[in-house]
Amino acid sequence: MIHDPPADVIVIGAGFGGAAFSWRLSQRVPGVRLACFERGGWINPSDMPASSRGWQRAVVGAWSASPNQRLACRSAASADYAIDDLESPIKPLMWSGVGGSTINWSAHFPRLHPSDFQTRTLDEVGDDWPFSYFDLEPYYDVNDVETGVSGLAGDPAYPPKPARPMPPLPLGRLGERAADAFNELGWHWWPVDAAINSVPHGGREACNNCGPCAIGCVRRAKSSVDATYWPKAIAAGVELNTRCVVHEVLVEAGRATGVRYHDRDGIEHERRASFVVVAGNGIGTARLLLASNIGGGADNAVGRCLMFHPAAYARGMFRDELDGPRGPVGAVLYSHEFYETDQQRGFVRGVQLQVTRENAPLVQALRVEPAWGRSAVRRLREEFRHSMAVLILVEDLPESHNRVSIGRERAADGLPNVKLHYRLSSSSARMLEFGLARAEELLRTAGAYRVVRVSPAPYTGWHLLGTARMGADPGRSVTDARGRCHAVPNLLVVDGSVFPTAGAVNPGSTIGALALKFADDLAREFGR
Amino acid sequence: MMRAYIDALVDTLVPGDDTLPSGSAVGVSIALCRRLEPGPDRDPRLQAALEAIEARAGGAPAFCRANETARVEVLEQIERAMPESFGVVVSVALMEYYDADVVLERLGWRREPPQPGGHPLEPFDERRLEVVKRRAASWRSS
Repeated sequence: MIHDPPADVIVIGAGFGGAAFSWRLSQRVPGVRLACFERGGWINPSDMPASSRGWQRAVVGAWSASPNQRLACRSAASADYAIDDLESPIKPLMWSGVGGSTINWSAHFPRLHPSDFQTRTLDEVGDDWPFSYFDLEPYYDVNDVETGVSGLAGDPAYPPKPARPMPPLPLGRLGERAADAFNELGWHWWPVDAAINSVPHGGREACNNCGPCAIGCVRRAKSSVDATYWPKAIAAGVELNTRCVVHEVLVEAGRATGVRYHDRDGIEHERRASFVVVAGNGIGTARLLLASNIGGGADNAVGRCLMFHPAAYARGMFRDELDGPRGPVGAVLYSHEFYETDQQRGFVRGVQLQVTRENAPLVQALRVEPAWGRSAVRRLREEFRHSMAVLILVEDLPESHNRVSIGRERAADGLPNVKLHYRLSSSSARMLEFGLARAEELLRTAGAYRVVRVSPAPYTGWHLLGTARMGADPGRSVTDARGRCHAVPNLLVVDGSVFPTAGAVNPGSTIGALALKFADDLAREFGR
Repeated sequence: MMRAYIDALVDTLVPGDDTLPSGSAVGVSIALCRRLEPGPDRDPRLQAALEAIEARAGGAPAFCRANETARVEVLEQIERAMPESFGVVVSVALMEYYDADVVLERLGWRREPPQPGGHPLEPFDERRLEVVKRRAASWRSS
């Protein structure tokens, strides 16, 4: 065991939360001794497969969004651990390395709505957040600037936002067709806020519409925190240690005192710190806290209330040619026509419709039903470059039985095995059905002659939320409004785990904003 | 395992049509055979599925002699009986087939990878949003 020199703050995880937090604290507290430990390594864009023959296989293999699928391919690009997801219809997706899941995200960058922070007050479900949208708004704004956002201010579905740093990404034929259909129906739509450069920005190139954002961005047009927050944080003195797996947060007399970790050579270290920050996503954070015997709350609350955004697809087939896999796959336009509660729909809370682009031929072929035989070939030919998909994302509500648990056996990384227990609620199922019906209405209006529904779509578990939720009541929550564990006040959680409720939009923007806020809150401890 | 049997199997899974070539014509059989050889890519489920298909058909020669309808019937039986292993066969075949240059081109796509070329798309035209901009604010205030 090597005893490292102590730090002021230890951050575990170099994804969005860890990166934004580290950068902000390094700015607010110059000279702070901040050490980050990341289980994976840096990804060199030249190692990303988008410039290589065989790149399509990478999408479904070594660069799959699923850690379990990557492990099955013996891929070492991401430092994955296996996740037992047999008891979850939604499969977890993530990336473990510097940049976290911003390496392979679609970079759709919406904010939550003000109502998402008050679901208990407004709709008598879930829990209110311990602060409002408007408390977080300044941090959203900073995060937009640091991340680099293409989009357009003025969306009536949101409170006013500052001018976006870059103009919107192209809609393409597919997006224009969808936009015309939304207009015909009189429904809301708006071009996405995307963390993708539509023009050169921040020392990074503009997107050239190559398509598969999920296998990393060779051009760095897609924002990822290894290219945004981390270089600035490191320049400010933050220490980023890669290939180091923290397997225990040390707690003595109700205070976190440091961590134990294995370095890249498997050597055990102990490092002490005044504050420990866990930023390992809704699964990784819960796994580490539970492994460290930090349960939290009266209900062993850590790991409970796991929320995804349950998702479904409606895919419409068109006679004329659309774009095919041209343009950022997940960043076209969205509709919040059905986002806010309308009791007449038979459920509360809302649904986001998001128009997405086609995938590469191989990915499409693996999704066609039936998968083989003469009809499969015919169907693929019929659909490729002639289809449009509408993704339906709905608000999952926190339910205690949906959770992350650990087992007694140790995995290869020295931490306990981890398992998901998740059931789709009747509310989510109703919302998906409603969203699918609206999506089909849209696609038919746009000219689709056939619509296929996939519900729930299993490989959509990007958004890992709620397993260390914030709240004022220690009996019903794990963390407080500053991200601090009630049970261990100098232990912070800075990722999607702290979401008390999930909204129905992608959480990256909110995770970044929260990390900035929590860093400012902690900076005050240092007198800044 | 006899090559004619592998070809017959592949061409039942990916038969091609008047535009697209059959699987055996673009090297899918060769890739499948390679995955049966000792090495890191070998998957025992593949071997198991191929042996099960052969047995269900009454031998490899019988499978080769059978017409397409009969072959499909055999494959459907194996797919039901051992879905995971059969899924590996399908997955290997599709990955090889839809990554073949000639298939991509005949689908109207290009053989080159996404980068560095990318794709041209027209810039966003804000005029489409005029009707949406006239809408009242729809977010709920507390």
